[in-house]
Amino acid sequence: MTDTEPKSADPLEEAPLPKPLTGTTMTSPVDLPPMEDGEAGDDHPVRWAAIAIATATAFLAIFNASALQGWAFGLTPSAETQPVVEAAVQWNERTSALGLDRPYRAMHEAWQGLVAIEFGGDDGETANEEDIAPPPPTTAEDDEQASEPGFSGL
Amino acid sequence: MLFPTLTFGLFFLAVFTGAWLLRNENEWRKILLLIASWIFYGAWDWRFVALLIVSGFLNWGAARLILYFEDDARKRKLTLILGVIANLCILGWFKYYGFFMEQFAALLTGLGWERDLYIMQVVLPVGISFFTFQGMSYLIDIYRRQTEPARLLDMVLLMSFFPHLVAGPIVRASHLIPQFEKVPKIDRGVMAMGLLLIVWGLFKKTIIASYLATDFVDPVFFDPSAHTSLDLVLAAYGYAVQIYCDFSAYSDMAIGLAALLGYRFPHNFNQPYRASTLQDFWRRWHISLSSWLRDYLYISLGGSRHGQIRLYFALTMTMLLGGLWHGASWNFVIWGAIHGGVLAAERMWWQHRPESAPKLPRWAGILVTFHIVTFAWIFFRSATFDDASTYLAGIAALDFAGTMLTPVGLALIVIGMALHALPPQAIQHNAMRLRRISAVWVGLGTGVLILIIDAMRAEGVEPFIYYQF
Repeated sequence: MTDTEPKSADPLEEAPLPKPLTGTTMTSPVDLPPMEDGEAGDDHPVRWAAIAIATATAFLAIFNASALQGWAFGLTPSAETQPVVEAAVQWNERTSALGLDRPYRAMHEAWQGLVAIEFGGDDGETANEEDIAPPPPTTAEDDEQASEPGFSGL
Repeated sequence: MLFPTLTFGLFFLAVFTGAWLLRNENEWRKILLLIASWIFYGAWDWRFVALLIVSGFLNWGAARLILYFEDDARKRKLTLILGVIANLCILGWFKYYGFFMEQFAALLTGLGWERDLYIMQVVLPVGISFFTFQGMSYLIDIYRRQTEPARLLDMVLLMSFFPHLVAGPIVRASHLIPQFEKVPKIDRGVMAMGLLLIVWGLFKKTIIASYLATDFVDPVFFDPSAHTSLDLVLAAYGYAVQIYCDFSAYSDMAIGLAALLGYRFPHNFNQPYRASTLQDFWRRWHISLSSWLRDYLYISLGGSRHGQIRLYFALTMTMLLGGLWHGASWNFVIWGAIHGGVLAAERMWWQHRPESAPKLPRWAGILVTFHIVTFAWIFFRSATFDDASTYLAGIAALDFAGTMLTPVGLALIVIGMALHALPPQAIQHNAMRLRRISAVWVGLGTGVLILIIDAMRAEGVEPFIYYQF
């Protein structure tokens, strides 16, 4: 930037790119300029984040209950986990009955259709219902993490 | 317990709630984080939690001894050396024992003294390279008087803290211990960045990296001889994108999770394929490791203080050892040698370049650097040297008849590269907008984004590439 060019009003434009770390100094991606006067208040940041996380969690529990059911199927079968599995199955059935799983299914189906397309003209007709609702994973411990569907906890 | 799973999501919800309920009790807060970190690590293998604790005690004790011998330079140095050796022994035993025994057996065979050596199968604890490097940097910083001594609880928490435990960033004591000493003060910006980095990491990992790995890169690298040259070239590009999206996603999520708990982690990636020289690449790729290698290895090997020959030696040796740090395999050594050799060649060129020599345009520098890095990735990714040779021979065959890559795979490679064309501070800009918005709307937006990502991701969750290191 030359002296004749106008300076950016954006405080981030002034921020240097991350430099290699030295013994005591550090830049972090989470360092933002402080809020300016007149911006919405910066009070109760933890409450703000907690409400955001709780809202996202509730949203996903409602619209992605199949992920919860898939996770429950992946638990090691026992007397303790059985009620969790039953609750997850019931919850999934209730939300499905209300059609709340439709957005997820529609997006998943559309994506599977795209993924099935190959160079040379296959239009992805191979994407079928089985792709959308996979069977519950095996309960082998080694497979547990690799087959765990969904991550709608955040 | 992998970050992009519901199990981890539930675990983190509990930790987040507990940590902020204890915001007025810093000691209890840290104890909670420590226990949570051990549960997180124990989900892989409970036996290695003890290793984590022993490692923390070892480094704390060695640092105390260095401080105790404050007036005796010889004892201080001896304690440092013993402490570093102890860390290297832990790393060496778990990570390199099998490799060196195999080399030893091959050497004996080569000399005509073939023996049936009993080689134990040693299980590699996840993240051992990261936490031993953190321990060593603490000892060296204490010796160099570059950091304050840590309390035992803080030291063990530093080494066990779950967001960075298994794949970094390598967070130094001088960065994190001062943050542990008081309950962190945070603002909405930190929280907004935390949320955004987690969602951004989920996108890169579960859509780009996982899809490319399972549907294209892994099959091609598994049997390079069964694929066309076009597949091999595209899979090399695909792996360049996959490893960036995989590892930077882990870093983003680690930084985001730490931010939600109130702690700042350092940058670890900065659009590395925008680098126009290899030196520039190492200022943008795995920044916490490259700066670690620079501060504790390159400088210790003499750096640039003892003439040019020593500098080239230090550069090459640093990268060779950096390669070996990734794993006990000749392919990692070759990968390090390529990087070390090119870094040394770059230095040599800059120092001896004729005045009249034309300067490479920046775009050409970016192109050349990216292809050197991608060429080195072939050795990094291949299981054996023979596989890498087969891979390169397959490319040289110039058989461009067809590919198994799908349009979506190609699009993901292009998107992975296009991420490097985004403004460097794009996420920060979005976080600045986000922090002004009501929490409910932010939560709904986050939920929608995660729902979309979940609908697009491949079945199952592949472990992060850097877990094996």
